[in-house]
Amino acid sequence: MDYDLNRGLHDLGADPDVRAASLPLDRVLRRAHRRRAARVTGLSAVGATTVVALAVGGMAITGSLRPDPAPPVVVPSPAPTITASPTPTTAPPPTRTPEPQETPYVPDLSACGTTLDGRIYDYGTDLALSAAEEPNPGPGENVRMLVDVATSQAWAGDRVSLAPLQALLTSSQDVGSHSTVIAVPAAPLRAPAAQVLTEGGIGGAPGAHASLDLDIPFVMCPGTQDAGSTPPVGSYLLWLEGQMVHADATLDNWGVWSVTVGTPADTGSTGATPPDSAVGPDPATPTPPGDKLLAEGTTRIGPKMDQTSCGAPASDVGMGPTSWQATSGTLTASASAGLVDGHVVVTMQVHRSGAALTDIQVRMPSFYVTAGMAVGSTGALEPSGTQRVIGAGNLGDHLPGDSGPGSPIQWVPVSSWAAGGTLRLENDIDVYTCTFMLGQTWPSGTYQVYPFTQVRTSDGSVVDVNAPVVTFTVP
Amino acid sequence: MHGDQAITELVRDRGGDLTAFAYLLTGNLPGAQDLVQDALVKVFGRIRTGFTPQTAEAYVRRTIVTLYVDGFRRRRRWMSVRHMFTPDDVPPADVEGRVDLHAALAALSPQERTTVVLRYYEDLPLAEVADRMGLAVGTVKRYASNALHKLETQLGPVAAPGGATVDVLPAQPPSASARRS
Repeated sequence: MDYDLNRGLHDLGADPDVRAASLPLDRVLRRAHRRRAARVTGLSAVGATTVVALAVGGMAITGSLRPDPAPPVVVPSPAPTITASPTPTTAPPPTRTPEPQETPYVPDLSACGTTLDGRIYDYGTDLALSAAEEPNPGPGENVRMLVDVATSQAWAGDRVSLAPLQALLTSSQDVGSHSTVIAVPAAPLRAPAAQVLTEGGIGGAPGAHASLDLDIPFVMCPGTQDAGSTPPVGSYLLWLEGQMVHADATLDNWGVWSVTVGTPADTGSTGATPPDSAVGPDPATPTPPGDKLLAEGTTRIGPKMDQTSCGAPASDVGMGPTSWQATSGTLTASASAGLVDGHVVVTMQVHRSGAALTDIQVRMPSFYVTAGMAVGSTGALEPSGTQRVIGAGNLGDHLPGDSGPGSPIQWVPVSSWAAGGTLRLENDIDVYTCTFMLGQTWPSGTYQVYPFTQVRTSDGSVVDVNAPVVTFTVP
Repeated sequence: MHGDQAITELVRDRGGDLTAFAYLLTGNLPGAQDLVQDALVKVFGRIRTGFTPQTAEAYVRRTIVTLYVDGFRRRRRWMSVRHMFTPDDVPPADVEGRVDLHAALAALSPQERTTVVLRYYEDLPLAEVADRMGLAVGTVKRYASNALHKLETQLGPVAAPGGATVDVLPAQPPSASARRS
């Protein structure tokens, strides 16, 4: 008699111990509150800070920031209507109706000085913002870009409204654990009319998407060198929160892009944001906007991402100097890491000391990257913070094959592995940090790489193999 | 519905089901509880409105799958895997033919296990399973096939879900061309 898997699973899921297990509601609520608070308290706190700075510092904000109150709009009295004669002898001269006087927009400066980082991106939200091209406005021009807003929901054909909720600029030089807001919209963010979603979800996966056409003037924040003016020539990060409103749900999430004001040659001039002078693109050779800010030797963080470990305490992923044990037993590994052509290249050598194996599968090296964790330290791990994982890379969908979009890591077959043999696995990975997204560079510094891979034997067993921690340096 | 209200109602009314769903993925209760909590925090970790109980649960279930497949199991494995080439403790079937589905599931990869749970426990068609996992249908078929091969080694022949034909493909390794040069 065939095994009834459906019934077996339901029996397993109906285990009274499982059903009766309580979820700690208080703890969940506290965690959710903390996560929300981390997202919003910066805004309110910095808003207050800005007010204090304005009062104490006596900073002059130009008229574009704090314009004088608009004069009251004078509504002209209607001209008296002549009714005595049905046929006026002379036609009244046409009177031009005064154009309504707009109330000047006062930029919302509350976000100025706010620190942002990649954790603002919500991986639990089924909405992703992407753009084929990063903006490159001229000095004084608006930031214009077309943002693709996609969801994996099967909403193609449905009418939705898209809206930009927040748009903020930070300096691209302000990299590290966070980025500080230095410019805010100088005009209300405008949402397009409702539109119909078309086929195609996140990263080409099944789903639906539509476009958000942005045209945003920015004004520099108080306290910056160019306060009250448009962003000067330089490089910035644009942080955009977009929202999709569907009849079934409202989704919103953030996207981040590089913005270059002025041409690459212009960025050598002064500005609020110093140019990345380490690279000097040949003006005769057009360079894709996304590449021109990269200094040689830095790592471009590609759009492939695995941030599933981001924010986790190091100890949670077993990354401590004492807990990251190179696997013992019949498999041992060593590794090296370095920068090659701007990519982190991780090489692992996995040595088999036991009997020969056949028909196995392996994965390419994956790794966690940290900053500030002393290699070889035997001290107890601190909680997340300086030892927080800042980058995590793996093969993910880098491999071609039949995995389909969004596939997890693939296995690579190895037909035989002789006793005492060593497998050399090498992979260059567009590392994706936890704090910055989509095409940003790593800050200079020394990083620790925790390499690992997996081996699957012919019986389906999966073995995790760690290699000792190695370091690499971004100049 | 406000986020906190949605969490409260979801935990109160559907917590058992969510935990059971996660338990089938993780194979252990503490892991399942952690997984559900992580999913709840991820979904409700920002101020949201407009949730209905149904949509909230759907979001959480989808997030449970994503968290499990993408990282949860890997993260936990670091602390739990200690032995090389030592398969999980899978007791043999007893003389009366009773089998330990729990142990059989432990031999599956996260992707295979997720496929099985969504297909056989949630009773989703393969296309929906693929959608939930963000994979192509062909890939999910492969996972399902591999999973059934593994399960059948311990459980014996597996009945088709809902009387449908089980598409068991011949076992074969991934193409060698898949390796990144």
